[in-house]
Amino acid sequence: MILTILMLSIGGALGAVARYHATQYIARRHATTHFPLPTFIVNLTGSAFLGALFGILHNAPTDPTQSPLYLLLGTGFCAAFTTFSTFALETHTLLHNSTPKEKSAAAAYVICTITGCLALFVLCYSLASLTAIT
Amino acid sequence: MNQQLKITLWVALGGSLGTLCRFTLDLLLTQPTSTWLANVLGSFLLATFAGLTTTRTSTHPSQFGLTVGFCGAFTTMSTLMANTASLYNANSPTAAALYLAASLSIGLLATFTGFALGKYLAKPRPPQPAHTPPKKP
Repeated sequence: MILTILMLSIGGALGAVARYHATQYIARRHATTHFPLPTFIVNLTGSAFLGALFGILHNAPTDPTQSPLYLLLGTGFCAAFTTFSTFALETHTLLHNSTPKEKSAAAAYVICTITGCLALFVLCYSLASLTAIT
Repeated sequence: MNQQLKITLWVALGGSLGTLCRFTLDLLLTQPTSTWLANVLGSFLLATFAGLTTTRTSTHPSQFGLTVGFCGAFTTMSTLMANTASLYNANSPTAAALYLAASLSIGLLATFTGFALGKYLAKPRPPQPAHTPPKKP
């Protein structure tokens, strides 16, 4: 119980802080006006990492989602590193300011995020489960 | 203390609280329902706060704890993808597509509602005239 709380707290704190600094860094380097690139990249990276983690733990003898390592890296870090709420708010902002250009950017943002994250998750899962030591 | 360090500490605090709340939902409702609900609730909270502060220019470091930290960590994109993939594997492609569609549509709906609510609550109201009892003739 204590170990679970500790792993989740550490993973969650690190994930959120990593997301904050990664988005700040990307925003400084690439000042994009219409496409929310920082959150997009963070969500892609986190989904890829979680896919790889699932692939590695694929052949674990016990339920892998209960292991302290998964609580730290999966439920803690990856889940906190990626975000749905910011994605939804950015989509809302793009639609709200609705020039035609921003409306199409909102559609592209939603489609690219969902397909990109899903594709990277599945790809990294497949690659990691192939190479995982059994 | 420097501003960036203050923000980082607030984000760390919010991030661990958000993660613990999400895990509590996992225990109460089990995945994938819990992840769906966390995403919807977190989006609503973030949008409400964004609507409330839309006219404000000053920000306190603790605001980052709530927005980037708590809401950001409470909601998740990677677990959403993991749940979609496992629904596809275990159950049916239809269930996976429905799950993804329900997350997106209700999540965005919660964001629009939350933002409108926040903006409404932040709207300055004209001071109400004090209630005066009707004068007797």
